[in-house]
Amino acid sequence: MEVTTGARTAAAPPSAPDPHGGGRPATARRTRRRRDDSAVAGLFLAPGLLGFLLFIVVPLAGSALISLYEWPLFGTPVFIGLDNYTKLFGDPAFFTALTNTLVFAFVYTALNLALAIAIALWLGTRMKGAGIWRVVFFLPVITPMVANALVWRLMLSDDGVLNSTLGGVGIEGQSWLSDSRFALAAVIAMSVWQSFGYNVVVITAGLTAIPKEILEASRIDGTNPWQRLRYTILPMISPSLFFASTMTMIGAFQVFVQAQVLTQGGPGESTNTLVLYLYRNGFSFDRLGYASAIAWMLFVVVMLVTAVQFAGQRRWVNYDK
Amino acid sequence: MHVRHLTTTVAAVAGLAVTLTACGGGDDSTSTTGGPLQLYTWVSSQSDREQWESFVSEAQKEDPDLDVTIEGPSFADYWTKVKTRLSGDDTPCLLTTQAARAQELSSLLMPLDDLVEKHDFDLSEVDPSMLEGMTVDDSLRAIPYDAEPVVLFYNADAFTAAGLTPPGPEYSRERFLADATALTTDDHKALAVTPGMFIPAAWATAGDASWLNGDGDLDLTNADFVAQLQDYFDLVAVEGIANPPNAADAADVAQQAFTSGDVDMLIEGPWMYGTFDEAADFTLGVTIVPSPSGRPHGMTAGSGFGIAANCDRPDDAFEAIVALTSTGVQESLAASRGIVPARAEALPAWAEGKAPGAADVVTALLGNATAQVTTPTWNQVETLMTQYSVEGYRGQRSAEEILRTIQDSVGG
Amino acid sequence: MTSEALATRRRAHRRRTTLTWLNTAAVAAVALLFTFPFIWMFLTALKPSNEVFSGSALGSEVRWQNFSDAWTLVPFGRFIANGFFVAIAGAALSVVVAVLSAYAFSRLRFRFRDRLFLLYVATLVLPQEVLVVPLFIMMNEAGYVDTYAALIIPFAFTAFGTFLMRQFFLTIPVEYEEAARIDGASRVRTLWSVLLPQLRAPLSVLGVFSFIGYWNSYLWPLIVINTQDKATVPLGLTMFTGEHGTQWNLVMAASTIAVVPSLFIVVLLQRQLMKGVSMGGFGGR
Repeated sequence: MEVTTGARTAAAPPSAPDPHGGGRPATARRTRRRRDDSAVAGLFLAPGLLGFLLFIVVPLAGSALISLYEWPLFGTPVFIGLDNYTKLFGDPAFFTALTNTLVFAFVYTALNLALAIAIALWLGTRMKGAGIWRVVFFLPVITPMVANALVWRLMLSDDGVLNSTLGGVGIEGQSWLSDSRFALAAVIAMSVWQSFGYNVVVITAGLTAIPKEILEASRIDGTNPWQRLRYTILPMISPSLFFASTMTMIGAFQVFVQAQVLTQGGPGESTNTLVLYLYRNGFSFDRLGYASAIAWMLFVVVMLVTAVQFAGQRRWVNYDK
Repeated sequence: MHVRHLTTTVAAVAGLAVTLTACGGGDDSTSTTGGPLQLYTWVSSQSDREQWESFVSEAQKEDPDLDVTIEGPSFADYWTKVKTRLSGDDTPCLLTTQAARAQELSSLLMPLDDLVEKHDFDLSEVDPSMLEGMTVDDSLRAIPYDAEPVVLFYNADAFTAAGLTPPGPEYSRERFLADATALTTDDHKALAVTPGMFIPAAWATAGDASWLNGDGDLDLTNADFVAQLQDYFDLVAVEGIANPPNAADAADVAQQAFTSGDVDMLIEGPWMYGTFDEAADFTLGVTIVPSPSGRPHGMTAGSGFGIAANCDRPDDAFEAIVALTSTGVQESLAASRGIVPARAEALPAWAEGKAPGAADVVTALLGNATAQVTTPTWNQVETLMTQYSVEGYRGQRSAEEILRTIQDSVGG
Repeated sequence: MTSEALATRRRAHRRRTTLTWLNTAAVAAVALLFTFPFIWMFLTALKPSNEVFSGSALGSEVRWQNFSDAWTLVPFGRFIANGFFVAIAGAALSVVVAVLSAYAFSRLRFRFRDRLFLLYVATLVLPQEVLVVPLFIMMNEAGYVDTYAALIIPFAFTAFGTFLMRQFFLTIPVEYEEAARIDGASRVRTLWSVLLPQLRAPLSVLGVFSFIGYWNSYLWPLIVINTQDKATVPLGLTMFTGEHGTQWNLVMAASTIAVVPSLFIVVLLQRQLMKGVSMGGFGGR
């Protein structure tokens, strides 16, 4: 997303801000004279800045430090240098969790966006109560994920409602949660269900911002719907798509509850994820140092993926309207 | 937001805060001398809380001055939370531990040997396998209150209907398999299994195998244990007498299958007797976990009370434990909660109201019992076994492969 | 316009109406399928415990008492009260912090302002999970494990709120405030009585999203809360799995109860929610 660090807005009309947090900075400066409000700013910033330092900056640095220790929940930490990292790079479960998380992140993000675009377009067609349906799809986004995952676990279990329904129409059910061929897919399916409604709203906002005339003109040019989608609509909503894909991807790397509740990371390690592995190492296996090393790896991976996304945006994201 | 609304909201939140703090039950006033002792234990449900409260109220009959408060997280979280609880403020003196977790919590638990001697506490009345289970590095870490040898529950009506003889205090693998095969049909299984290490460990113990080597270190890959585990996986994967479990299934799925009559047999702790008897509308039978010879070799699970390593009132705490584990308390809890008491003299209280043979089976198992002694890394073993056993039961991985993976991950 | 043309138009209109309704019916069907998990949650909550895994919609009896059982098996009322308290206090704190910081970043001039703001924004992509181990150790050292403060405070300072509020501040012309300032009002007074009244919608957006974030949060409470006294709703839901297994019908009853507040929020505040999301609120999940 493009960040506006522009200064004080002067004559900007009180219109709705750009939907995607990006937008054009209103840079018209009212005064040229340099003014320094440091003292007042200090007061206003103090609570936020203090919290920011204490609960974000310090822990981030602390995480790096802790990863150099063997750090139990109860007892004295011992400095062990880079041993946690050496161990991590020789730990097959870590690499499995990393691979699972990457697969999850990419497949989940792709499905999530594809579904969100499809539903958002559909809800944009002629129908009654589009707003209500949008809210319906949004619902699981704000219900507790634990509750959502629990009911999915019940539905997907061997003798759950999915298999009995399939059985009713003569299809043999599968062990969705206990067969390593399906377990990760089941976790992805549940996660997409849970969250794509959010992107439906984001993309709808992008769609409504497209001027009607442009679509009309395109239609008059004799394009078919697919061409209009491919060459007009998608480029026009590319900033929304970029924002949605970046944030969805970052969210995807945090996958934890779904794996923990649906499959406990199994069968085998087939649904173990970085955050689940981090949590278990830190708080079940009593290895906070090792968990911090995993946390740093997670941090690095997320940064890399986000950086790649930002680097790639120039090719497909169109900020001109 | 209107200022008025804001004020109302703030007032409401403040009110809520006061209410929550008031009924928080946090007792910050516990001083270092006198005052109530805190017992930190698992409190998953109201039922758990009642159990601990009846421990205390029964113990007060022995020692009217006893003053113990109870707090704790859910059972699943307890083993982690207890470590953070002890590194915090106002730490509790009394802890609960299972024998299976004594190793894992050993750094938290004060050695009790000196206190036992000082207070002339007679250990000879307490189940020896459980005492062994509570011993870490040659020192006793907790006084057990129950000694629960894992048993095989069965549906006696189903056995009779199939023309099978309900087993008693002896049960061989051969006969078990024959019975189970006879009871299994296309849409009915004889047995239910659960992911995790607890039941397989009991099965292996019945087959005289262990997951530890002579030094007490984790040795999952020894040939005997691998063979026993493979046998157990094969009940599902080869013999087909049980359905493979789901990865995230807790013990409840199998329990429910048993009490609802979907399966006829279930290996479980004897503490489930009362629950099963109440839920099932068939005659409940109990026998030993089948062994190759047919003779019992029980794996005892059980819990006890210990003293936190950083407790500054160890004598008070020990006196409390003496009261909490006394025969009277155990008899009362055996009757009301169905725990199998760690003191043999309290066992008749458990036998009361149970099927005639039940106490014989338990006594027979306790006669040749090994406690479920584990390693400090057991939580990881249990977690990994939960993840991997699902594939073992499906025949997708061998016991050898799974145990090798776990052994390598845990690293002793 | 000829009568024939009129008739054609009317026919076209009728066809369009029919199509609209067919389309609506199709969406309704998809939406119904989509909400099936919630329906199943509710149906399971009414079943006897040994029929949880049966495929039929209704059990042999409809047990409303499962709801009261769930309420008493674990102190679920307490979890809900805790959840509301933590979420409301957390949301209030987040909003206050965000408004103050956003004011400084959008209205005041000081050295390193833009660089500092960039640093803030950079942490938007930082997964909170990276921080839980050190945060936990900090809380433990400070004696804050198992307190409401530990649930509320660490996550009230995310850059997200500041970022969002600043975006809104930038849309408000600065003239109004200058007028007030010339009349001698202090900065706090200007912020309170000139700026905030124009920002009611964004404030409620941020408040609602913070509320939901706290209400649904699971990993951090799981780590930092030790007793039932302080547990919030998601944590409470996992407590039905005890030493002796899970009672699924009660878990589903409790889940249904846990979903209700979210349902209310969606119904009552859908406009703010939708607006919030489309303005980039909530940061994706």
